[in-house]
Amino acid sequence: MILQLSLLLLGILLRAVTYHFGLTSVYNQKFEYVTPFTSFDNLFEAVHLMSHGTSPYGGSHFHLPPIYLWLFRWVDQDSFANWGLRIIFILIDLICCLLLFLIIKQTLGQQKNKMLNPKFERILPVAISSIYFLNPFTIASCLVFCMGNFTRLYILLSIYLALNANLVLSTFVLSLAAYTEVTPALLIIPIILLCIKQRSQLFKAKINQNKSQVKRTQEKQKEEKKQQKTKHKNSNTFLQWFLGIFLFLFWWVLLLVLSQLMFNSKFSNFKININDPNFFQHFFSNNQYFTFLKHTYFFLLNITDLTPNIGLYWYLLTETFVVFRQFLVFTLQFINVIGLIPFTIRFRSYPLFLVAVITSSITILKAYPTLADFPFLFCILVMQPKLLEKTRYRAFFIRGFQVVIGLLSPFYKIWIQDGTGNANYLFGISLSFSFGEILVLMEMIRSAMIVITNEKDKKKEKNSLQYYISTKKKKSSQRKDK
Amino acid sequence: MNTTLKVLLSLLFVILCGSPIWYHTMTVHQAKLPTNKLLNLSSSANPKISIQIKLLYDEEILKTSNKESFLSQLKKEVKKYSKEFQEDFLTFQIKTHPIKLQKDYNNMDDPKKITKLLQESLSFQKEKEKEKEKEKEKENQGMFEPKYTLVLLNLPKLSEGIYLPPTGRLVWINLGESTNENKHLNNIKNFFSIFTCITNTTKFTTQTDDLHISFILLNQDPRGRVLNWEFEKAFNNYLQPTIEKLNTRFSEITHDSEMIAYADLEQSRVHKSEAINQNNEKEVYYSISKNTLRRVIQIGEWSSSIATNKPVLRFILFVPGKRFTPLFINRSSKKNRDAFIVPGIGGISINNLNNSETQLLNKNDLRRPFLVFANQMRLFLGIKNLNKFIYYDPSNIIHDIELDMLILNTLIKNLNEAKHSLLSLHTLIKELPYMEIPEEIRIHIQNAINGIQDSESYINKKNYKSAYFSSKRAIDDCNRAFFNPSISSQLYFEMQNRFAIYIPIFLPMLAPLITKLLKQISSFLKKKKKKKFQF
Repeated sequence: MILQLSLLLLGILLRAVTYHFGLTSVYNQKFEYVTPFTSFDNLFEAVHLMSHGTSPYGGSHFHLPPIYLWLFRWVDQDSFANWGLRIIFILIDLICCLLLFLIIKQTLGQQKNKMLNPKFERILPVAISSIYFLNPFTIASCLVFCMGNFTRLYILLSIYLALNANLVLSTFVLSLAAYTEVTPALLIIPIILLCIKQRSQLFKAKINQNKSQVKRTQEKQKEEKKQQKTKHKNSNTFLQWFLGIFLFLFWWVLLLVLSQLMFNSKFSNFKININDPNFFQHFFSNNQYFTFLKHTYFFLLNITDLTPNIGLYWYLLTETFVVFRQFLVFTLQFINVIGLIPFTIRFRSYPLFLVAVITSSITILKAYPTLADFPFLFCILVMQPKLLEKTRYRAFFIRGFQVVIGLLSPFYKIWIQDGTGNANYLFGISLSFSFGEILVLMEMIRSAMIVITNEKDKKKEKNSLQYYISTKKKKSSQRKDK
Repeated sequence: MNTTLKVLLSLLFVILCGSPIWYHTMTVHQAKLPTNKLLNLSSSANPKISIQIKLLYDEEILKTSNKESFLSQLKKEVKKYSKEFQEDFLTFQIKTHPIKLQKDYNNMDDPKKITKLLQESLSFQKEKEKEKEKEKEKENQGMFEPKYTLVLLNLPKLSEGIYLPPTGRLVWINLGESTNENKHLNNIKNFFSIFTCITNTTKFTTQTDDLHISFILLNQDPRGRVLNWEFEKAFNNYLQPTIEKLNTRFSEITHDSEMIAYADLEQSRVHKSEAINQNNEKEVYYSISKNTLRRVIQIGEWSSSIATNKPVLRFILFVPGKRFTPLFINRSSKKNRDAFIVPGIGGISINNLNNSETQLLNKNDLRRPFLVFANQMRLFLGIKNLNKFIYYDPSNIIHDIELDMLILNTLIKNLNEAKHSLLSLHTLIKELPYMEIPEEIRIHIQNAINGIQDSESYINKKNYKSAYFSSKRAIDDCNRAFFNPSISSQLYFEMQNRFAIYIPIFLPMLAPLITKLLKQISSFLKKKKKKKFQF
C-alpha cells in the first residue's frame, strides 16, 4: 500500500515539476507527442475562433468533436500556465493508472489466470500500473495536454466496467471513446462479450459461495433448478448482445445530436423548430447539419493531414498516385475490421485478451499515433500477466525499442531541421517501430494460443479421465450387481 | 466445424464483403469526351482567307515606254503573284483599276502630304460615305478586312520604293523616274513580299503572344557618372502607338523600366582600335564581341523584378563607361554595329555618349536606341526585318498590313495547333484506357472545340478579330487539357504497375489464409478417406 501510494505521489510530483520548469513549450514542438488530431494548440485555436463567432473547423486545424470545445471553452492564452488544466490531465493519468491496477488485480484473482510464481501476483498490478504512470512517454503526453489521453481513459474505464459486468455504463464510456476517435467502435463486440462472460462467472461464483449444507435430494433439486436458470440465462445472451449494441448506438447518436445542437446554436442561422411539421425533412436536408463530421470522423478515416508522425500512413499516402489513394485509404482502415471477427471466433472464451488484441491493433494502426500509445499498448497486452510467461525474445524487444525510439527524434531533426536527410530516414525508423509493436502483439497472441491449447489439452485429459473413471465405476457396479 | 475453419470462413466472408468497395475505389473515372466532334474537327480543313488587293494607277502619271504593253504584262504578272505568294490558307484576289488622281504629284516630296492627298482623292472614288464610316468604326474596334489598295506613282523627287503610311491599308509605290517596265514590275513584286513577312525563327516564344517588356538602362560605370533617362517621354513617343495598336488587336503587352548600375568590363575583353572618321581624323574606338558582352551582362540569368505570369522580354540599353567609349560590337561586315538580339531573352543596344558629362538621356538621345528596340520587337513578334525598299513612318514601326498578316498567321497557326493537339490527346486517351479523365479535361476539350468552331464561323463571316481571339481561347484550352496534372503523371505509369500496389498489401494477408485453407481441405479429404476405409 505504501509502495503504491509513494509511486503515485512520485508520478504526480514528476508531472508537477516538469510543468513548473516550463517543459511544455519544449515538448510541444516534438512530433512524437503532438499530432494534428491530438494537439492542444489546435483546441485552443478552435476555442478562440469560436469566441469570435467563426466556425472552429474553419482553420482546418481542429478535428475533435464539438463537446470538447464546450468542455474547454474557458481556455485562454495563459492556459498552459493554468494549474486547473494541468490538474485535469494529471487526474486523467492517475485514473488510468488506478484502472490498470484494478483490472490486473481482478484478472489475477481469477483461477485460470493464476501465475506459476505467486510472488509476481502481488507485484504485477503495482508494477504494470507504475510502468504506465511513471513512463516518460506518458508524462510527456500529459505535459503537452495530449487529447489522446481521453480516449485511453475511456477505453480503460470501459474495460473495467465490463469486467464488473456493467453493460450500461461500459457501453456509454465506450461510446465516448468512439465519439472522440471513431475506431474504438470496433471494441463493442469484445466489450459485450466480456460483459456477458463476467456476468455468467459472477453468477457461478455466487452459486459456489453458498456454503450451507443441503441434503442430497434438496441439493439435487436445487442443482436442477440452477441448471434450468443457467439455461435460461444462456438464452438471454442474444438479448444481452442486442441490448449492448443498442445501448452503444443509442449513446453515440445521443452524443452526436448533442454536439449538433451545441454547434448549431452557435454557428447556424437555421434554428431548430421542433414544432415544424416537416422537422425531419428539414433536419436531414439542411447542409449545415452534422458538417462537423467531415472535419472529425471523415478527417480521421480519410487521413487528410499528412504531417509526418511516428505512424506509417503519412509516407504511404504521400508517395501514392492520386488514382490509388482512395483504395489505399480504404485498405489501411479495413485491416482493423478484417481482424475483428476471426479474433472474436478464436478468443471468444478469453474476452479480456480479445479486448487487448483489438485495442492493440487499433493503437498500432492509428492514423495519428503518438509515443504515449506505446506504454498504453504494452499495459493493455499485459492485462493478463500469465501470458508473459510464454513470451520469447523479451531482451530483444526491450533493446530494439530502446534503439528505435532513440533514433526517432534525430532522424526527424536530420530531415526537417538540418535538411541533410530525407523522409525515408524517418519512415524507416517508424516502420521498424510499428513492426516491433506488431511483433510484440504476435508474440502475445502466440503465448495466448499456447495457453489456450494447454487448457484444451488439460480439458481433454480431464474428460478422458472422467470417461475412464465413469466406465470403471460402471464396470465395478456391474460386477457388484453380478 | 473446428475453430480454424470458422476463422478462415469469417476472413473470406469479410474479404468478400469488402470486394465491392475495393472495386469501387479502383474503377477509373473517365469523363465522356465529344470524340465524334473532335475527330470531325481535326480532319476538317481550315477555311481559306482571301486577301483582296486593288492595284490602282493613273495613266497620265504612269511613266512607261509603252503603257498598253506594260498594263497587259502587269495583269499577267499579277496573276502569277497571286499563285506564287499563295499560302495554305491565304488566297489573293488582285484586280487592277485605272483611276484619275486630281492633283499634280510630280513635284511633291513629302510622303505624308502625298498619302493625305491620295486618301482624299480616293475617297471621291467611293460613292458611299456610310461604308467609309462603318469601316472606320470597325477599325476602331480592331476588326479588319484584308482589303488593300496599292497605288502606282512615278515621283521624281522621292526615292524608289514602297511607302507605308502610318495607318490604314493604302500603300503607294514610287516607281521613280525610270521607264524600265521590268524594274517597275520588280518593285511591284517587292510589295507582295509584305504578305510573307511573318517568320517563326526569331519569335520570342511560341507558347503565347502576351508579353511583358522590361526596359533596362544599364550603366556600366556608375563611379564615373550617375545616369538617368526620360523613359516615359521616349516610350510614349516612339513605342506607345505601336504597343497600343498591338494591345487592341493582337495581344496584351505590358512594360516596365528599371535602371541598373554596374556591369564589369575587363580590359582584356575589349579591343582598342583606330579608325579615320568623316573629317579625316584618327578616332579611337573599342570593340567587344557579342558573346562577351552577353556574358558580361548575364542577361539570361536575371529574374524579373516584377511578378508576372507572362514571358518577360528584356531590352537593355547598355551605356559603357568613359574608359570604353565609344564601344561597338564586332561584326563580320565592315560597319560596326551597336545592337544585337539574344533569341528567347531580349535585345541589347549600346548607347555611346559623346559628351562624357551627360547625366540625363533625354527623349532625343533615346530616339535611336528606342527605334532599335522597336525593330528588335518586330523580330521577337515574328515579323521579318525591315526591307531597305520599304519606308515606314518612325512612330509606327509595325504597319497595319504586317499586323494583319501576323494576326491571320497566328490565327491559322492556333487553329492548326489546337486541332493537332486535340487529335493527339484523343490518340493518347485511346491508347491508355485506364487513364483517369476528370471532368475538368472534358470541359477544356469542349471549350476548345467550341473555340475552334467559333473561330471558323467568324472566318467565314470575315470577322477576323473575333476569329483570332476565339482561336487564342481554343489553343489555351487545348494546352490546359493536354498538360493537366492528372494526365502527366499517368503518362509514365502503366496500369500493370497497380499490381505493385496489390501484392505488398494482399499477399501477406492472403498467403497464410490460403495455406491454412489448403491444410483444412487436405485434412477434410484425409478424414473422408479414413471413414471410407473404416466402412
